[in-house]
Amino acid sequence: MTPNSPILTVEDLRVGFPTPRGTVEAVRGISFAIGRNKVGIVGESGSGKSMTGRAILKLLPGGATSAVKSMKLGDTDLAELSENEMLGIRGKRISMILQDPKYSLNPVMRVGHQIAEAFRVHHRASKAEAEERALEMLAAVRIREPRRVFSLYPHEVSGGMGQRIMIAMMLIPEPELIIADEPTSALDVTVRLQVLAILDDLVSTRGIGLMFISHDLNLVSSFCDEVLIMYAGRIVERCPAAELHQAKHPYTRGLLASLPRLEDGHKRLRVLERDPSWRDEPIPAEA
Amino acid sequence: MIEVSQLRVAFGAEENQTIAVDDVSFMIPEATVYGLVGESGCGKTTILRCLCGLNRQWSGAIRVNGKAVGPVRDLAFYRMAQIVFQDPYGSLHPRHTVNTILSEPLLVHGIDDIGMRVSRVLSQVGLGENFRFRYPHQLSGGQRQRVAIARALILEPRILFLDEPTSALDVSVQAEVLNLLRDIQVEQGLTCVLVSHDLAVVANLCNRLAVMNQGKLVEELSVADLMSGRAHSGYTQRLIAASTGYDRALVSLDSD
Amino acid sequence: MTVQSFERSAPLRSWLLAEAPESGFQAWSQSFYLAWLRLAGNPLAVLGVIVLLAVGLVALMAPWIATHSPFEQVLAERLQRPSAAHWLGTDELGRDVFSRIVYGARTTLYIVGLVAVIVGPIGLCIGATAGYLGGWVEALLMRITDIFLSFPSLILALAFVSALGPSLDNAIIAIALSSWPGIARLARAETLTIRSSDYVDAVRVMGASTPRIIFKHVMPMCLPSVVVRVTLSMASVALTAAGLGFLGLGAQPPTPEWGAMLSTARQYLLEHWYLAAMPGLAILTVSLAFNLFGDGLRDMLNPRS
Repeated sequence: MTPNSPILTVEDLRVGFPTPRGTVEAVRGISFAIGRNKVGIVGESGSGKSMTGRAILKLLPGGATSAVKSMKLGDTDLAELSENEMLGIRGKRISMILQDPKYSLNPVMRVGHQIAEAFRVHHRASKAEAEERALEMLAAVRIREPRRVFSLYPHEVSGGMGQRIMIAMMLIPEPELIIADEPTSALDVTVRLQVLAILDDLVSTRGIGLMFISHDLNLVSSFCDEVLIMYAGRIVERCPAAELHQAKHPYTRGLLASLPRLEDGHKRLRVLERDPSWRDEPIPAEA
Repeated sequence: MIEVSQLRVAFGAEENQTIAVDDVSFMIPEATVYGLVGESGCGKTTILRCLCGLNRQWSGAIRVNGKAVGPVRDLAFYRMAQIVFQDPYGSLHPRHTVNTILSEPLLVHGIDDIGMRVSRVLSQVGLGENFRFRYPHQLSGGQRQRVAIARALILEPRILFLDEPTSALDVSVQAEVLNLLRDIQVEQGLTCVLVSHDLAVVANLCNRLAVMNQGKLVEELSVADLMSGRAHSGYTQRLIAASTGYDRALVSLDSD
Repeated sequence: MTVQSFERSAPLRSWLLAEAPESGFQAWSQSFYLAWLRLAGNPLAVLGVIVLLAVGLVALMAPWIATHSPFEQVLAERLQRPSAAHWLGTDELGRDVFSRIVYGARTTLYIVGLVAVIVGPIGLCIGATAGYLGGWVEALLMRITDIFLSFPSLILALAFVSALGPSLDNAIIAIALSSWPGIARLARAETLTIRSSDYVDAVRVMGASTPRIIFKHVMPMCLPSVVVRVTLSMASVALTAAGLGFLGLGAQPPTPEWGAMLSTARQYLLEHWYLAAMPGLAILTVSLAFNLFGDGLRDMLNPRS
């Protein structure tokens, strides 16, 4: 794989849910590619952004159906893989970082052991080796006393540290792609930036692709390289993060205008008027 | 309108106390919006709960409308001061219709003309009559928060406590609710205390704010100072910098 | 109402499904209707409901359904096998078994209904009050609950009935005394979660009094769990009543009661199996129906939306 070829390409992904009132289409035909860069997927609740991340890892909730024209990780076609084969993908080639370490870390296992376990699941290694690697990872996420933190339980660590531990756990098997679903939404503002900086460094030095799912437009546009805006299950805007203020789609422009800004003071905020045509009309910028 | 002096809240047993609020004093003039800003655990919500009467274990002095108030409040106080909570999904009773939820304060205070007052407050928050008999689970997050605001307003209070009223809402809905709050505050001359971790929201609604860190009041400043970055404390400066978004150069990674 | 006639009553249906209800009654009816649909989607629960309704109907229409008087003894015709004249045979005193079972339904339903009506509200009040107030009130109420809970229900019922004398009403009181602690504990556990919610805080900040908060805001949230629990415990109430009757401490002769019938049928088990099997089957059916209905009720009242 050449340095510039995409790590993940998705073409025409669709996800649906059965409900008493008929099938709800959460994702309605989206296509995108992620290379060795940070791609942000932004949307409000119900836009389908979280389902996209889960559909790639085939971790959809029971009853949900997904269909895709093609979904390739490097040369592997993910759509064709069986559940057994997916086990070799999850964690090993694609990792997922979730929102709240309180709920995503095993509460009855020491954090160091959880990281070591993440390593041993995908690599043949002795217990001692795995623990060494875990300590290395803890240092890599800039935790000052790796040995002390190794033996802590999840409830004994703060939110920011928990998220760093999560990152360590997800990076130790050396994946090609990371899907981060609201990884910093549960964190305080100052801690958030530190965690993002760690993620930033690790992802760029190791050449890992990052799919960053969030509702925070500001954060994504300042952290990621490319931004995809989702609305009602479709991508309505895609542009480099630096050019977000020149966005073309009325939904994006409306969203940007409705955000309160520190420098604007007591300005009356422009309320987003939803146009029903945004749901189904062809997107002008779509290739 | 509201004067707090040397407020102190401590939890836990004697030897192992956590001090949630450590000797905080501030003053809020009438018809202004005062922000309490800080990160989680700084004590801002605890202060709000002491002010509105939900938290009864505090020491210090609180004066509201010129009169000293103690831990236990009376009906007259509750008529004057109301609160809007953060989570629109938890602050409305799941088994009561909007009509019941809005009538409840009136029934508790023995105010009649319930039907007319409910209608009036619903239109004040921009919800029509057709929302009146719905259950909370039939409403969206923004609609629920409007009902919560309506419930706070129906007693015609003079003080409104707002606990992160928009942080659980979608971005597009947040703007509507912020505009609504601003309009109501200006129209009715309400004194508001707004707790938030989002400096942009604070800049949008407040006149003055207090920055809190680990129970202590770090500094008080006006929103004008906030906007021009004229904060004294380094902590405040960090908060302001963090609110503008991610910038790798600005983050120093001395680790945890 | 058949499906066709329901669809024909379109105005009713649209009233029940309207998006914007115009009155509290309409809103309540709508949520009841939706809950009913949820129940109807559970075939076993519907079966439970049908069986219970059938039993209720039998009890109500006993004088018309029974073929003979349940009390009339015809000693010449004792211990007869099921036949055209006596559908389920006769017992040791020549009484018609079928009629006694039909009238026995009245006794069983009377016991179960009365216990539910006593136990539900009392358990709910005590549990919710204890859970909401906390402190010494909770400690006191919960210790009282523990005391009652520590007696095995049948033993407590026995002790009570022996002290006061065997009769149907005393049996009911005895069973109620042993059933309420479970409800109280459940209500308290639910209340502990509820009392720290924002909507309860909101009502406190309105200045509502504690009784108002407990009755209007806390208890309605405990109600679904309590209702389900009461329904499920009706099965064991029926069994306990039968047990007491079996021991001669419940309904007194000659009142027909399934447990008592089962008891006297012991001696004739080998040759006249139907004397025991029929009341036994009746007890089984009613217990099972309550269980199925209770399960369905849980899904109906607590939708996983």
